Parts: sequence; structure tokens; C-alpha cells
Amino acid sequence: MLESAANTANREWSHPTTGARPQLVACLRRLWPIVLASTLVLGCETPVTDKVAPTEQNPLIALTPTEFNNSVRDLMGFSSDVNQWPAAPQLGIAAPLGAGGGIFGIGSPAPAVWPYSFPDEARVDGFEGVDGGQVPSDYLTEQIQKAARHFGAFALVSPVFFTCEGFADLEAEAQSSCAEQSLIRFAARAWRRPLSSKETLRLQSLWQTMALLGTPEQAIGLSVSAILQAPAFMFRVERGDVSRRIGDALPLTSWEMASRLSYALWDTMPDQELFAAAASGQLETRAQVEAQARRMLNDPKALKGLQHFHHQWLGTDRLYRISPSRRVYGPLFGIPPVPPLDTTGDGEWPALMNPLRFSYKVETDLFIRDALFGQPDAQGDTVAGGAKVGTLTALMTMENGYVSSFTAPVYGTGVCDSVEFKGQSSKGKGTGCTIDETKVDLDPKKQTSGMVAGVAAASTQYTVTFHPATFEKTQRAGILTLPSVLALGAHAVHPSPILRGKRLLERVACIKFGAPPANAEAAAPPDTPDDSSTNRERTQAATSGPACSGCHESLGLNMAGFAFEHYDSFGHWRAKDGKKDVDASGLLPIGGDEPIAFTDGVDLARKLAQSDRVRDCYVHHWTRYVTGTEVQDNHPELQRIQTDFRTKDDVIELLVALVTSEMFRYTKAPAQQEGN
Amino acid sequence: MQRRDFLRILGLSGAAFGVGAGIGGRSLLAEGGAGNAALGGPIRRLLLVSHCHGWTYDSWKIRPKGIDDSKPFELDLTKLDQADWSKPLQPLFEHRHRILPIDALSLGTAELDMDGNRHDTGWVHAWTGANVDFSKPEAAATQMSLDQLIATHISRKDRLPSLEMSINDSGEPGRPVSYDAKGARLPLEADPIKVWQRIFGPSANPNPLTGGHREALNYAWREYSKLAPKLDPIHRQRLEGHYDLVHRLSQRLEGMANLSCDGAIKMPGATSSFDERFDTMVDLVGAAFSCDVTRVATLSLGEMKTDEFGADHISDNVHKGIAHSIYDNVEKHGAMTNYLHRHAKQMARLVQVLSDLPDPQGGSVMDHTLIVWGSELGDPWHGYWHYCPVLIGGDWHFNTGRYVYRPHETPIEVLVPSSAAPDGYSEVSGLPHQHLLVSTAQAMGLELDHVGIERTQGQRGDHVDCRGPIPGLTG
Repeated sequence: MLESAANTANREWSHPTTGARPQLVACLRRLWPIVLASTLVLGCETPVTDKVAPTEQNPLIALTPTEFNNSVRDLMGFSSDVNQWPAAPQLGIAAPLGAGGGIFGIGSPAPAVWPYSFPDEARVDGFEGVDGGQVPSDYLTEQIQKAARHFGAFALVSPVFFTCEGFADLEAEAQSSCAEQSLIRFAARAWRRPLSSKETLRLQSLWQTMALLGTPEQAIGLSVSAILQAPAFMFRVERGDVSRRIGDALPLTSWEMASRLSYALWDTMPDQELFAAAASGQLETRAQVEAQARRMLNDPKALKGLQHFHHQWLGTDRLYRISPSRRVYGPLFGIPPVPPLDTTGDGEWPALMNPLRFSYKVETDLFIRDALFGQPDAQGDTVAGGAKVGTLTALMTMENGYVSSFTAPVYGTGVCDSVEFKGQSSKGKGTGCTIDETKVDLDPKKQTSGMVAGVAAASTQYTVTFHPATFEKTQRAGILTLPSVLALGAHAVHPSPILRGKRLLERVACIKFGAPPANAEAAAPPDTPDDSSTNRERTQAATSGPACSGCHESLGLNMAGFAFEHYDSFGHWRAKDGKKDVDASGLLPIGGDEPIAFTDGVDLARKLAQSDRVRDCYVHHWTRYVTGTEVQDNHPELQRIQTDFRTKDDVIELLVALVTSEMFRYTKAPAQQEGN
Repeated sequence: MQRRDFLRILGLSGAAFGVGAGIGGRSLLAEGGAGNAALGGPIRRLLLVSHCHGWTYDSWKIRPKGIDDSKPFELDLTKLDQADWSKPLQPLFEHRHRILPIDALSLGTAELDMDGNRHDTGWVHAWTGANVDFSKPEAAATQMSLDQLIATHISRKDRLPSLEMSINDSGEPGRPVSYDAKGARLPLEADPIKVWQRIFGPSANPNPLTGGHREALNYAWREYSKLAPKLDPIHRQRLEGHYDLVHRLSQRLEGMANLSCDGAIKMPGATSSFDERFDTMVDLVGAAFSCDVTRVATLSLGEMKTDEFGADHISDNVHKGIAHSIYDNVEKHGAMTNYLHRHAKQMARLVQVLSDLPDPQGGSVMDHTLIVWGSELGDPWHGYWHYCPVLIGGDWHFNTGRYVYRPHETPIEVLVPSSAAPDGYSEVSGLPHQHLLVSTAQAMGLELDHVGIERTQGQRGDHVDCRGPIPGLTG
């Protein structure tokens, strides 16, 4: 399909469209000769208005590290399980990735074949792929080049690269012809659109140059690396369809729409069906986009995309940062608070923390999956706690989740019944959750190296067993009470109501706080064990001054955090803070809305799930995420979708509404646009 | 861990397949490039080191008996009795002829900037001299940082313009202290192996296909050039930012691959402590300088664990458990003094490594290097009042071996503990640290009179001039 599409587009792209043309003619040109003309006319959307509402900005977004890696995986036709990847031939193209000791001396793994580890984006409010959060640098450019070299060799073992059979056995001339055709097809897929005739010529020239520099196999690898560094792969170039301009807006071309959809919903390039829809002009009307979106949201790749969004939303993609104190929390895991002087115990804590961070991440993944798509083989369409599967309410209130062999001590006052921790059954020790007897071993060998990049590296392969668990409903409900989310809002010794409150209000309620006053951080209570007062009391005392109280009291920053005082720095539930009972109750002023009275974090989470402000905020985050740009609160399309989500509370329907909206399907026309 | 494991790397003969211009096998010094060589002088190098939490001024300063610090003074460190040295500076005694501790500055302009996290504000001011861009989600700068400014002038086109690294422990990681021309933070690399791969990977594992890689980059750049005119100006600018760097990478690809150098080192192995990671990075910096792979480097020191400097009995957390309380807890003040002492020992080792490395120009690498050791704060309590950098090396420009003191007379009010001023603010502060940045830039051959803020006004309306170098450091 793509080959014929490429041929079609060669003609189109080599004849630039300048100025307005009759829409029917333009439509016919785009779609000819794939389907009948009569169908084409029906397929073209005739605007009924002279005004549509794209986003205010039309940013040029680069592929994020996740998108780059996923796109390469799909381009090569490989699995997400890197263990299934074939070995790349040793062509001498890639820079040696090396393997070594790792910076923490516990042995770093050989760098992963996939995904490639790029420097983190600067991000906007925690989200990748948003205008303003992507910064070019020499180092990033080097890493992209190294990644392209690394992946270039894999083309030779890709099941979808060659257009011919038995490349290695062909005569030189046939090899060259096959390589050239394969590269042209590869480029069209990598660039997610047909090539123009000039682009095709330049690719042929590239191949011929590379063929002089090494063996045919090396030349293919080098050419693939060049294609992966070209702007059409690295950036989502969206120029819109000038011939269908409506006021200040340009509808995206079908090819551009295919890319937008796939990166918004899947974090990767379009699949064959999406390409086919683009080639046949079936991504121009709202209905056509909706049909594709619904199909895509039924695909397993959508789950990965949704998990990725939620990790960025709550920051759980940075779990490698959590570093609670061994002195305080070691005993919870049966580890002495102070290692022996002979240093034999120095590795105990890191040996626990790495798989624990990894477990937190996977537990969050599974929680998101169950809340939005339901537990595998589950009956009915509700989650534990009563909310409907696929709703924000389910995400905010679901009363079951997963416990691993490494995180068992964190759940409950002791540990969950029947989960083995460090080889010892803990049956009968805890009441925080109950375990489904059916063990779910998602992946017996998980490696944490990807997660902990940036702070530590670990090569140890951990066997992590994840058990479905029903939480004690008075202790835990919803994603906000997951240990992963709670541990991020904590210092080494004490949890931080300030960090937790700020993140909750900013990320969940979209309440923005200005910069803190001078020396605010120094005024925060010291993070040292202190039984003479509670964490809440110390925080209140430190933030009651006139310079602090505006945000901490009036805007509810402290109160939002106090709701989670039942959870320590690991997210472990506690009844007491030092010698006193925990007080996690309060009244939360949430923007200009009616204050919310709550008894604890579970109660607050349940009430926030019903808040219009929270639902609006969730929509806002999604809107920025899928469009890659900040959208003003008063944007009519945003407001329409927010109003709808307030009543429907359906995440899948929200995504369908977003990707079929004018914000998503149109781009703002530049003030001046030169011809093609 | 095996230290300083040298490996001779021989350059390949020019471009293996006849693409591009090769430089292999030629003398490093003959390769020229931009920078001092182009300015007519010898190659100079800059290393910025930024540690966390500032200084415990009372224990850092040197005050021999009988000295009057109401007036400026200078001490000849080569003659000062070791017993008179402060604990945080003691480890540098053996390098006393090379150092120039400056007891004269404040981060006063950071105090004048908008409210914000004082660490973030401090990093931006300390290393750019400019105000913070608070409109960004994470505090960005409004100007290029000192290292990048200097790299722009002295880096070779065929080598790395600069290296940005951090030394991390399990606490706060080293924060970015380098900012590009748009004020964006540049990423740091914490893994010595990856740093090694950047520096020596191309030459240690010679790739006969370097010409092909360069062609791939050039192809990508040409595709950009074809596309750019069709884009609206904002998109064009966005692409330009990336593809300018692609073009630069293409230019240095062969230079890096054809590196010929006696000072190269083998890939580092495992490290298990902050000290080991520091030493490993130092070896890498030394080798990179010796081989002229780069002329500018930054080392951002993350927070050490408390057991690294004997304070684990106080807290597990330097930042929240110790640093903030130095003015109301003598033990914690002592702990942060030890923290500085530990860093000074690391710095002493750094100087020794660079002093032991022969430089292709003659003398040692240290002889041609200027180290600026600073921080993001004046003190661990988040004060900006005493900013106490130490210059090491750069004796082609600075008169080193001295301790330079100037009393605080600048009319910028800075936050101080109540023990120093009842209302929490001192009426005056030290010289704006921008003078340090100017001194550094001038030492590196740049002809300029300001870096970052040129002039400002104190809270009482007094005009403050931030231009020019720190007086009395040269000659």
C-alpha cells in the first residue's frame, strides 16, 4: 500500500500547491488514483463554517525519547520485548556501547539494545513532547547520531526492511537495486509520508555515495542512520493543507493526521492501517478520524500510551529519585538501620531499593491498566470501589492493585498476607491488603537499569512477582494513595506535605503557585527524626508566617498534603506519627470552588474524583499532551470537551473527543507561507 | 579501581574512504582551530567546579592573628603558616602557590532577583551572572553561562566544544550549571563510562566508516536545508537550532575519530563512592584536556552522603538534615565544615592529577588550566552573602598564591541569620560576583567588560556597577 502511495505522492509533492485552489480539485488530487472519484467527493469535508479553532500556537515538536525508540522498533518490525530482537550484524557502524562497572560499583548492565538511553527532555509540567520543553544540545545531537548508527545495522535483520528476498545472495547489481528500493520504502515509513520525487532522487544519491564507502551491508546501515537523522523523521513537520485553508486555520493533511494520531495515542509511528487511511484520504473528516481513533484505542499500544501519560502526570516515571533513609526505614524490611563497620552490609539497602523502585513502577502500570481497561478476565464493568472501568473516578478510587515480593512490607501495617518477602512467608503479619491466591507473574526477569538511569545503574536481574491485591479500603484507594506516588512526595526521613500538596494541587487541580518567597526552603522543618511533635505540626509551624500562609494555608497547599499524612516516606500506611495519632483530616480550599472536607487521603481522593475542577484539569493535561502546546483555558473546543467530560467521566471518550476536535485536526496558518 | 590507566591512541590515517578532510597523525598543536591559538596565544583550558550548599564562611575564612578585616588585605599563601589555614582550605595547602581564594564577593544580584528556590536562582546567577527566567517550568537562565561563553570563543570546531559532567551520590544529584545561548540548561552526564565513550570512543575504537557517518550527518543537514525555506519562521528557527548542531557534529566527527594522543586513558571501571567517581571524572577531564578533546569542562558536584564526611550520626540527609541548621546548631556547622574539607581534598587531588599530566605545549596540563571552584549559594542556610570561590591555576593571568580579602561595601541588602543582623538583612554585601565571571573570561582571552548583569540597583536605590574584573587579582 505504501509503495503505491509513495508513487502517488511523488506527483503531488513535486507540484507545489500555492495559494487557494478549488477544494474539489485539491481533494481529487490528493486521493487519486487510490479509490473512485465518486467516493472521493464524499470523503472530502466541506467546511460549513468559515471559522475553526486550532490551538493558539503551532509548535514543531521533535520525537521524544520514547517516541524515537518506539518508532524505530516499529520501523524494524520488532517486538517491545527486547529479548525477542535478533542480534544485529557486526558491521562496524555503531559506536561501541560498552559495558562496565557502573557508577555505583554494583555493576552496570551492558547498555540496552533497545530502548536507547537519551538525555531526558527539560519537559513542561512533567510532560515530554511539549513546546518549550525540548532543548537542542551538542550532547543530545551526539546521542541521536549514536542511536541512529546503533539502529542502522538492525535494518539488515528486520523482517520488513528488504523489498526483495535473499539480499545476501543476489548479484551486485540486483543487490544495489534492492537496497535502493528498500531504502526508499523505509524512508517513506520513517518519515511517515510519501516521498517527493526530489527526495527520492536524493535518497538514491545517498545510497550511491554510501555504496562507495563500504560493503553493501555497511552502506545500508549508514543510509538508514542518515534517514533516522533527517528532519522528516526527527520532527513532526506539520504544514497543513494550504488548499483547504479556513480563515486562520489549515486542516492537517491526512499524512500529518496519521502521525499526530499515532504519537498522541500510541507514542509511536502509524501502523499500516493508519498509513492506508492516510493514503486514501480517510483522515480528513471528523468521522474518519474518530473511526481510526477508536480502532487505535482498542489496540494494546494504547495502554502503553495511556500509562506513559499517567506516569508523566504524577511524576512516577522518575521513581529512581526516591531515596528513603535506611536508618529510619531499614527495619521495615528487616535490614539493620546502620550497616556493620566492616562494610559487609553496605550493599543491602541499594540491593533492596533498585528492585523496589522498579516494583513501584510496574505496580503503577498495572493499576492504570486495571482502572482504565479492567482487570484481565474480570467480570462486569466496575472496579473495586464501585467506579466504572475506564473513568477518572476509577483511577482515583479503585481499591485494588498489585503487590510485589519487594514491596510487600510497604503495604499495610506489616505486610500483605501470603506474600513472600526475602524468601520468608509473612503470612499473618499484616492487614493492609489481601492477596489473590492466583499469582500473576508478569515477567519473571525484569531489569531495572532503564528506570534508575541518572542516579544509579544496576545489572542485577530481579525476579519480581506481582500479586493482585485488594487494599484495605480505609487505607488505600486510587492512584494518589499508591506508594509510588506517595514516595515521590517525601524526604528521606519524613514525608513532605508540602511536596505532596503542591503536586496534588498543581497536577490534579491545575492550581498554579508562584515562586516561593526567599528562603522558603530553608524555613521548612528539618528532616530528622523527631518524636516531640508530628510532621503536620512542624509543617504548620514552619509555614504559618505571613510570607508563607498565602499559599500554604489560604490556597490549601499544606492541607492537600496533610491528607496523606498516614503515609510515610515509602508510602507505607501508619496510624501514628511518632507518639501521636496521625491527623489527616481537613478542609481543602480548592481554587474558588466549595472547600472539600475530608477525613484522610482516601476520603479526599474519592471527593476529588467527583470535582469538576479536577476533571477539567485532567482534560487540560491531556489536551496539551496530544497537541504539544499550551491551550488557553477559554479555548472554545477545550471548554466544550471539559463540559462533556464532567458528566461522562470516560477517558476513552475523552481521547476520542480530543483527537477529533479542531484543536487537534487543524493547525494555525503561519502569517506568511512560502510555496512548496 | 585502577587509577590513571593510560592508553596510547593512535590516529588513523586521514579519512579512510576519501571523504572529508582527515587530520590524523598530525600534531595536536598544529591543528589549530578557534580559540587561543587563533588569538595568537597558547591553548588555555577552563574547568568549572560547582559544589552544593555554599560555604560555612566562619570556618572557611583565613584570619591570622591580629589581622584587621575592616580593611582590605591580602595574604601570601606561600608564606602563611599551615596552622593559620582554615580547615576547609587546608587540603589545598600543598598547592598554595597555585590558588587564589577570594574572600570579597556576594551573590547579591541573586538576592535582587525575583523570589524563587534559592538554589535554582543561585545556580543561574552564579554561572551566568544574569537573572533567572522564571517563566519556564524549571528555572532557566536568561543568558549563556560562563563556560559556554568561553567555549564559544576557544573551542576547536573539530573537537567537543565543552563537556558537562556531574558527580552523583544517592542524595541530590549534581544540577545543571551550564546554560545555552537561550538560557536552557544543558544536560549533564553522570556516568564516567559514557563520558569516556564521548571522549575516546571514536578514537579508541577506530571506525573506518567515519566518512560514511559524516555523510549521513551531511545528508540530514541537506534535507534540513531543503525543508527550511518551506517552513514558517518559527518552525525554521526550531529546526535551525537542531541542525546547526548536526552540522557542528559533522565537522568534529573526523577530528574525534582521528585523535592521536599519549594522554588517553582506558575506559573506567566500577566506582563505589563519591570519591571514586570524582577521581574517575578527574582522570577523564585530565585526559580530555591533555588530548585537546575539549578546552572547557564543568563538573557539577552532587550532594555527598553524610557518611562520606562523617556526619551520618547526625542525619542521612545533608540538605534537610544538616545544611539548613548551621547557624543554630554547632555540630551541624561543624559537619558542613567537614563537607567542605572533603571537597577541598578532592580538589587537591584534581590539581595533583592535572599537575602530573604532561602538556603537549610543555609543562603540565595544570599549567595551562584555570579552575574556578564555586557554588550556587553563599552558605548552606541559603544565604547569598559570602560567596567564596577559589581560583586555581591561570597564573598566566592571575597573581596566584594569595588570599584576597575585601570588606563588604556594596549597597545590596542580603539575607543573613539573625545573629548577624537582627532584622535578617545586612545593609551591605560583597562585590557582585559578576566581577569574578569577568575576571575569568578575561583570563581566558575574551575581551569584554561584563558577563550577565552590567548594572543594577540595591534595595535602597543605590547604583551598583557589575562591570569589570575583580580588582587586584592580576599583576
